[in-house]
Amino acid sequence: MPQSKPSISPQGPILRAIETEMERNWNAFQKMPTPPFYLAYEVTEYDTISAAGSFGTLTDSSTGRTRNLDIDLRVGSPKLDNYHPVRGNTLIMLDNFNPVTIPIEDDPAAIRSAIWYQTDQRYKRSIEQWIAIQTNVKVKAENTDKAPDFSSGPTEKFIEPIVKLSAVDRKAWELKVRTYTKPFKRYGNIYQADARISASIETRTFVNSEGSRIQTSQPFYRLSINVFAKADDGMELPKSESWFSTTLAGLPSDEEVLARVNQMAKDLMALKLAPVMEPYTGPAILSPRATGVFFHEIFGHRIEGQRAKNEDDGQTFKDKVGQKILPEFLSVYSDPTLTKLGKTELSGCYRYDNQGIKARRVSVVEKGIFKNYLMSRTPIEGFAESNGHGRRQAGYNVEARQSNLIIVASEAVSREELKKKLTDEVTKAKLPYGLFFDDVQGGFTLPGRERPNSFTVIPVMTYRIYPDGREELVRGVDLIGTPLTTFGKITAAANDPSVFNGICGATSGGVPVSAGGPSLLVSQVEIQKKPKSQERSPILPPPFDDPNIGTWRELIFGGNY
Amino acid sequence: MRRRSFLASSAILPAISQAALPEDTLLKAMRDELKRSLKKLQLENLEKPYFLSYRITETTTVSASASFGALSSSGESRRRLLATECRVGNYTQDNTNFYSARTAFSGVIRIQANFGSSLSLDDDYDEFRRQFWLSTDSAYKQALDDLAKKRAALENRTRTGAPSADFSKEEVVEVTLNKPVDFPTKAKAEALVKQLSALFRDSAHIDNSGVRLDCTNILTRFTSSEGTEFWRNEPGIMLNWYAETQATDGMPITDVESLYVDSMSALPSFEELSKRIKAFQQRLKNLREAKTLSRYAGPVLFEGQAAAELFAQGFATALLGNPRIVVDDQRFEGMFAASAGVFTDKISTRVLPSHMKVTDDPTRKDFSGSYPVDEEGVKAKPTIVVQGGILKRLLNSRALVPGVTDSTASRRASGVAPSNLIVESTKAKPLAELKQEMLQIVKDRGIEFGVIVRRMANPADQFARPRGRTVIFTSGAAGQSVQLSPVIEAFKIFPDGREELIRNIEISSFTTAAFRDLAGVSTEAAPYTAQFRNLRPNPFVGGPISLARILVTYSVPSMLFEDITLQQPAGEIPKLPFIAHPSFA
Repeated sequence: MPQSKPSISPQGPILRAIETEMERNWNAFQKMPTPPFYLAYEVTEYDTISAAGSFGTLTDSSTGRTRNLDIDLRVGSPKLDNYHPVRGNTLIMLDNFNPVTIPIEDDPAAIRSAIWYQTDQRYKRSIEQWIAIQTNVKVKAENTDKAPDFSSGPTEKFIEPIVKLSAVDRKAWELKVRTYTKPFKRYGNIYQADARISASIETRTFVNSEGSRIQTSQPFYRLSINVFAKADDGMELPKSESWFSTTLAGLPSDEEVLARVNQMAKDLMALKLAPVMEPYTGPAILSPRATGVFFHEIFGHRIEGQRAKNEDDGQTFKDKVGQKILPEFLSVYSDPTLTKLGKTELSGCYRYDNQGIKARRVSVVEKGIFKNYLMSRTPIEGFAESNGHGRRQAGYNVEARQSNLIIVASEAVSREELKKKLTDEVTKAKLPYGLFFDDVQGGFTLPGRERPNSFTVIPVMTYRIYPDGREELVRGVDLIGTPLTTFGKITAAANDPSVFNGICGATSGGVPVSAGGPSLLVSQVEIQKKPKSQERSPILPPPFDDPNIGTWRELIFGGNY
Repeated sequence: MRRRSFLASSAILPAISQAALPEDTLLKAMRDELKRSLKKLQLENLEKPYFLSYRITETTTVSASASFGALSSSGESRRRLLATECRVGNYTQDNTNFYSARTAFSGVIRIQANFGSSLSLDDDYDEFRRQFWLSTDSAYKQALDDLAKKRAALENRTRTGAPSADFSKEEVVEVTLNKPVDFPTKAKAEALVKQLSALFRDSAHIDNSGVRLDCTNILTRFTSSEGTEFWRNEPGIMLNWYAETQATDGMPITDVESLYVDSMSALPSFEELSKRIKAFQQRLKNLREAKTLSRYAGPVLFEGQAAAELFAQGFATALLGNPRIVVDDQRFEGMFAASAGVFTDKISTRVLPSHMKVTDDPTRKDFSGSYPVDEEGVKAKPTIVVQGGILKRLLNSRALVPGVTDSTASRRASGVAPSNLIVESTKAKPLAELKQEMLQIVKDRGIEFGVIVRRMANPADQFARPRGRTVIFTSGAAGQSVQLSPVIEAFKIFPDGREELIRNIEISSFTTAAFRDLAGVSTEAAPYTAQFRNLRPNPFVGGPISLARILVTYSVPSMLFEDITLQQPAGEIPKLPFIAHPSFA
């Protein structure tokens, strides 16, 4: 693989085009009866190369370039503006999601034409929203949280050279995705084996009416492998691996990937034979990866600031600032400036958020005490300003989102000692076994009030741990619970912190995040049966493994066919 | 093309000849897995498939779009999509034409075969076989499940009306069509759209505009257990431009013009394209300044493109025959009855004046809607749908409609669709005479003017432009009326022959029955090609889907109607832009 050495180009004319149109529109708006008090343009450009393969063959190889325009236009006043939630409005997604593409060439006239057209549309819509909101706040019950709608922010100037995507050898990548998926071919009972490798330069140009001018440009390299098999009872058995780096050289070697591929296949074959778990409640250990997913889903989404303002949200931590919400030995911080944890690069890092606020580390929980929410420029009571966590996928409205969420334990034991603590609890409670959640596929949480405020974590590799230390792989379980109860049952941590990278999807779209921490012992978890496919395995054997028809070689080259 | 006679027996032996079609790994894998499945695929003591087919559409695309002289997007792509069709039961009654309101999709990898699945881009025999194996397994299990449920649903019901088989028996054919591909490189495609879109840089009256070139080659490989096979390579190029503006009172005005050819050499020269774009811009400029018409009821002459669009949207969609669907939950039957088609019960009745004839002809090679075989491998043939004004039959695929026993070879990309529609009349008159006839009606009725419609929007073209200003139009499809696209260009015509441009008009409460009372048609009928969009689609009918464009060429004369109601769109009118366009400020 050629080594990554992205070429650097000077600042493009796009920033000047946006600045010019900002100034022209802003000045003209000031003569209107209802002028905006804030206007921001953000252009997000993606330059992408990717290749995908399946079972040793190529399924996609493409390059692409897109440019999206996001406009934040606020009328009214920072205290009450057109972004104020309209209560009783069920189709809020219509205003939350507004994707706009603009020319991908640096042609000022074409870019300004597109910005002008879209600004006019957005201004008209903002006036409509503003009129509706002024009445809505009068006819509905008073908001519990009386914080304003928009906070002040500092003026930032930061221009980073635009990185160009140039060093990737696409043919070599096409070969890699074939190589990485080829070993799965020999298993007739693995039904999906996909690999995708991609390079993407994200260039964001931000200009607002307060004078901020920001341009950042960052390469991302990703490799993911997704496979799935089925157990004889129809249960789907997925397994995924992924890698992330900000440099081409940071992607794993072929040897490393193939070793992981072989392990994935072995794990799937072991899972096919593993016994199915029955519902269970008792002690369990979460691996660092499981801890990351657990905290991201169950904790992280509940510390996103605007939720404390949303009357439909469960508001788990509202009024809990200064109170103990986790065991004293645990602290949590969210740090978008952190680029690595140990040897692992973090995908949730950025220099400025999508509202032009400089990224900063936020101490969320200190020694078990809740200290801070993650904040965008939407204030909540007690938190008047953004702390650089206003994020979105291009096309969506900004909300406070997680970045790199790290869980730190001040008291930690070795992994072996943690396992010993688990077996002690099992023995003490006279249970047949405890559980170890080694690998998880992901999870989800329901933070609203309409449904139970619960979570589900989806384990892939789960082991029964017997009192004598013996481990047995099992399948067919989901870890469930409610947040406050579960947090109170974390009793110990190991000294083995690790981190995982992923894309988190929520109402402001998909954003790259990281989450990490140590293995944790939870004194009581609950598991339920996993939903199961009702489809039986294929009737015929795989074509290349059909003794009555002939081998695939005979089929190709003649023989008894 | 080599023809083979059809064995008129329900036990159709697979008789695959490999002589006529090009040899390749994919086709070999299709034949081999088809053979294995036919021989061995059977679940316990349940029925084996009586019909199995694989259709693979391989699309290769070069595309580019630009706005105001700058590139908006461009790309090259290649994709192979597999559609597997498996039928159990027999031709008279099988698992299809059935909808289960209670069942989710089936299959090992939770896809329904009808939705297709992506195939490897490498010519890897093993991998193709593996994918055919899983897809066939899914399709077979789904077919068994559906047939059992269908039989159960029919067990306690007595079907009324003319019986029709679920699947027609057709001639076994082998067909190869290899049209040469003449596409531009991506760089050339980009250069063309940039140059054409730059023509809008001096159009101060246009707010938003763009040009798109899309070159797509579709290679379809098909093999079935009946022995029919085809290899059809069809390149297609679409070039279109759109523009948006607002009239002086704020009413949005949008238009899209599309050209369809099968090679770059068939595209008009750059100079000719520039002329067309300039004329397009001028039309929008004229419309901006034109007057509106609040409401009008009286004679309307649809000329040229407008006549063809009106026929396409108001009449051609009624010619599509959908089979009767069995629904396991009778509460859902109403849904399917509504989409059975306007003309389902109009066979042998008069639907046009007695001097008129309509033919669907996919064999017209000079027209864009031609093909040698349809998507089900049925050999193309002309079908007279209306003769002497009388509806003779509907267009249908192998999924039969009541009263017929064969397909009209009308299975196209995403369902039943026309090919080329040719409208003829034994009493056609020169256009000038038709205009005089309309003016006579105007005089006889003592009204101030008549209306000539010269351009109507095409429903598929509406998707050609990116999301922009909301276009307001209100003509709902209330009751039996057809929802027609807005009129783009129309003129008042006064008794002295003077014409006055009018804008923002909709055709109100139009029904297909209006064609029966056509007051006259012209001798002139210039061919017009457009994308066909079924306004009354039945989502559960028609076998595996495809996303290919359906082009139909219409040879339709100008048409005079004695009574049409036109009206201005209702709804709120957006204000004009608050700030001038940056290039024209």
